[in-house]
Amino acid sequence: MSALARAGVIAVTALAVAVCVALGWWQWTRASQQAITVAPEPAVPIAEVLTPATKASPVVGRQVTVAGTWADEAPVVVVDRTVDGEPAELLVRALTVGAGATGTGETATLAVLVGWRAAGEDPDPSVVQKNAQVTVTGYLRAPEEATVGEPTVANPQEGVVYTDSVSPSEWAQEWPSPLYSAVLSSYDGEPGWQPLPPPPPETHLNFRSIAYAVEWWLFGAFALFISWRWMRDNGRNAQQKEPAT
Amino acid sequence: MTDAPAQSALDPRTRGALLRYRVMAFVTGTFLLVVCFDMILKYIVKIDDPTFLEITSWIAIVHGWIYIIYLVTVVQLWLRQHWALGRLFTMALGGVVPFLSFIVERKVAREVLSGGDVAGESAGDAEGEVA
Repeated sequence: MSALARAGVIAVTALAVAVCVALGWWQWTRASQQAITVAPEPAVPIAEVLTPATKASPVVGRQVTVAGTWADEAPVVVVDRTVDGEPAELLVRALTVGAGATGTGETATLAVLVGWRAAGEDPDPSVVQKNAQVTVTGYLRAPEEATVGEPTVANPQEGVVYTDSVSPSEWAQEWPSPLYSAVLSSYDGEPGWQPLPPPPPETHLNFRSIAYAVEWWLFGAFALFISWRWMRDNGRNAQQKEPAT
Repeated sequence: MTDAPAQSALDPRTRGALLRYRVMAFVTGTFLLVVCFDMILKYIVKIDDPTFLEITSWIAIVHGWIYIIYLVTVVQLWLRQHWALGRLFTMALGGVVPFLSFIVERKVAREVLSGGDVAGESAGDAEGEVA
């Protein structure tokens, strides 16, 4: 094997290993970064990041402002929740987003998580000012999985829907469509209902990305092993052949 | 494969390496076809059912690990046969190019079974010599 071929193999191996290590590292960082809660970007009008009836996952955690009016729909109280370690209930309301604010030219309905109260307290969840123009600022949350069955509530109020998950698809039949698939967690709250604190940064690891990272590093190790074997074998051959030539 | 005398003349370790390689070539090749079929459904037919997408990404992950096992069998056989570097790439490529693994596997198996250590020459020729 000529010195040139040897240099070529070393260069190609180094490149392959570098690429594998880099791709593996990229997957590794993705694995621990993916759990975003609230994105650092300042709040923008919702139409810039999300339109009704489209997938929410790419924009979860983005901060947005929404202009609209509270829809004439029953308020939703989400029971059996925990906030700051305390038993709590959440209030979700339908907000009719104006045709000019959706980005599609038609009105749409957005589920707004108005705030929370300690379980057992009893502020009125119903809308005080229907049809009043409001601007809500908050961050977008992913919808939760819908649950089966209705929760048991001790003293249910007339005209209130009780549930145990923040899942807009559960209300899709009642609320005017199209619906946003994300939920806006409001910063504003209102008397009796405090704004929900942003969830703490989660450190759960993404198994899929870790699997990919390990695979890339294995491929790098493969490349290293093969070129080492190849150089060893060919080096020996070259030594054996040299006296003959 | 029906060439009994040539097969019995093989080193049992070579025969084992060949068998492992052939099994993995079949499994990897089949899995790759499933992955490709899934990709067509995902990107061309544009199915966006979450369950389907979840299954698709798991199939791709499983294929990734099966491919690594395949690579181990490839390297084992390749080392035993003292083939050229080019042959290693062709065999490794079999796990990522649809249908290639089946073609390469046939060629490799014929060559090994006929006792041909003439990498690069067509397997047909090598078999002809034995016959």
